[in-house]
Amino acid sequence: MGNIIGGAVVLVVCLIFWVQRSYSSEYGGIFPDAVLVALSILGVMLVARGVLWRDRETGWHDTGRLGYKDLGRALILLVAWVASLPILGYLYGGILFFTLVAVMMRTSRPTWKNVLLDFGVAVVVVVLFYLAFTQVLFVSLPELSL
Amino acid sequence: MFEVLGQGLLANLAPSMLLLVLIGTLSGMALGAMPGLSATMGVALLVPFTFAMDPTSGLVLLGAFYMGAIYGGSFTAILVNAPGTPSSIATALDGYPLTRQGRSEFAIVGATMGSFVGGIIGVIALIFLAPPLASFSLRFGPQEYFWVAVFGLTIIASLASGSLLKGLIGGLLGLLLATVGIAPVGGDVRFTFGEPMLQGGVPLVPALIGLFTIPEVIRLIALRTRDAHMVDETRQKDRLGGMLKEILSRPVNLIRSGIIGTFVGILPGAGGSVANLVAYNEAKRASKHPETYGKGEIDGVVASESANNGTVGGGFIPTLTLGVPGTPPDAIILGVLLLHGLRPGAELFTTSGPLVYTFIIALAVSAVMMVPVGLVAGRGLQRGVMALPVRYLAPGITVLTIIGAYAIRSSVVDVFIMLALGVAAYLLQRVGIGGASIVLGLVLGTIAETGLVQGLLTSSGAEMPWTTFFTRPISLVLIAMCLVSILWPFIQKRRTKTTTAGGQAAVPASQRPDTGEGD
Repeated sequence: MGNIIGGAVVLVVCLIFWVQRSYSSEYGGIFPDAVLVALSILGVMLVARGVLWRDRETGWHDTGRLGYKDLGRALILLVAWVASLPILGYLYGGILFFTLVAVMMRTSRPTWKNVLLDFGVAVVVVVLFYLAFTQVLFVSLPELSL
Repeated sequence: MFEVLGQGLLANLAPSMLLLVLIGTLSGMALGAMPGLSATMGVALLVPFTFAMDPTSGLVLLGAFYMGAIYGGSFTAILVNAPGTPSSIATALDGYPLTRQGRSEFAIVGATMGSFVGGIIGVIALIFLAPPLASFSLRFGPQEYFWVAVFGLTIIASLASGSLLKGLIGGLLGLLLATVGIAPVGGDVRFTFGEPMLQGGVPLVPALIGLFTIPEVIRLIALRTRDAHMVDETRQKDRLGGMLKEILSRPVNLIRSGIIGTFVGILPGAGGSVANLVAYNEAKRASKHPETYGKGEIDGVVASESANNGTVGGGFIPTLTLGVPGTPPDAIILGVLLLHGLRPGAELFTTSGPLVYTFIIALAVSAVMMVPVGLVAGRGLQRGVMALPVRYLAPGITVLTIIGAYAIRSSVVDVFIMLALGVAAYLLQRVGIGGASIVLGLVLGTIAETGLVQGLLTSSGAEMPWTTFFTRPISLVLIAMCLVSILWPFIQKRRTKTTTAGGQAAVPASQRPDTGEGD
């Protein structure tokens, strides 16, 4: 099933890019078109392999599969962290989500002392990087915009 | 020449100069270790500080910083699977698996010794072979650059240990991502989906961080613990002497990779991002047990690091002799040379001999200093990361990835791109399409397309412009190298099958004799 899903995803990607094709120069499309055609062919081959060899291989990679709940938690935390950047900025968003991730990664029920410890570590790490980048390396970072 | 070389050596032995090289190397290592901060950015940041110095001291500081920054990229590649620069992509392929086996210290030592040897080889080439190698590099036209990129892409055949089909799909997905934005020749705006920030293309460093690091962060947060093999506590601790002995017992891999790095560094525009991949592929091809690559093979780390530090000396060959920068940091250092009224060319070595040779020797001194500094600082950092509770490691890496992705263009869109590519890479990994092939396509896509289109344009007067890709002597050599690279894994597999069929029992890796050839 993994091969069929993988091949189908590749074909969908090809389709999305194919409808976006719009070239203004003679040679502008030569390379991307060649890549798209080759990728489509390989996508079809992967689907065909999934159908023909469904008894021989699953198509899934043999690394440990994560539970949907765990995977969902990780994705929600990361997406929320990144999505909050334009609003909370690097510093406040960083401290908030660093603490949240650290607390949620505890395997036992966290006490208030644990939460305070995680918050303290978050403040130290995030502020240290913030100062190093903005004051020493002069790299600007997203700021709070509430 | 030997007289000014001696003068350069003496100038470098002065305590003030040694201190300057040490500061440059250390600060370069610190900056290179941060994902998103490239050697180019660091060298550019350092330039204003050198204005107050005399030209020799300024150039020495910049050179040492550059050498250290290229080496520093290996730390995060090994410890948290976040290649700080494209020069360290191949380092992560085996460095991180070594970390997961609890052998990160061994990987750091391998990276240090590889960087040292590669750096020294590059400097030797710069001293003795600069003029002839520089003129040879000018014979590379668009067609040759196209084949260099194709040669780099043939590495997919080696990387795709599980399925060649899925490896090729990954590579083509990378090539497709490389076509996003303004075309390198012709200026067509392609596949931007209405987002103006995408006109500049998919940014390489955020893509690297996303494709390599985010899947690991997802795993760490989801599992709430390190992978079972992250630290192998049952394993006996490696001794430094033993690790050094083991790494130095593979001189062929160290030297070959350094030479590859030096040669690729000479080619303007190629640089460390190509060199580390080519050297990795060659190390794997030459190895007697290529199946261990990608699973924690120290030779992969050594090859990659030796090659990327080889590009430092190699890149200065066309920079100093022709005024054509081999790599982006070379372009900045070339600018500093011009600011001080120094004109690149053969006469630079005669009219400003003491300055040029002091600078070149400083690169070698920096490479030497990387060994003690790297072994102390690198191993210290490794122990710190390993001792860190995973609940702080995962958000700590996330903080770094956000900064790394944002810092390049000061754009939140780049952070979104990083996360999107990271999540996509995690899902693609589930169906066996690895991030390494995608990165390979992304890195080499622009070089391949530029070579292809420029080659067609420059030969448009010919009856069949396509044929020029197959008729030029250097192109033919590169085509032969591509064919060998593609076919080698199959030949190797066939040979292994024949050997097994012949009844020869496989010898366990731990009992293999030391051949000195990359194993």
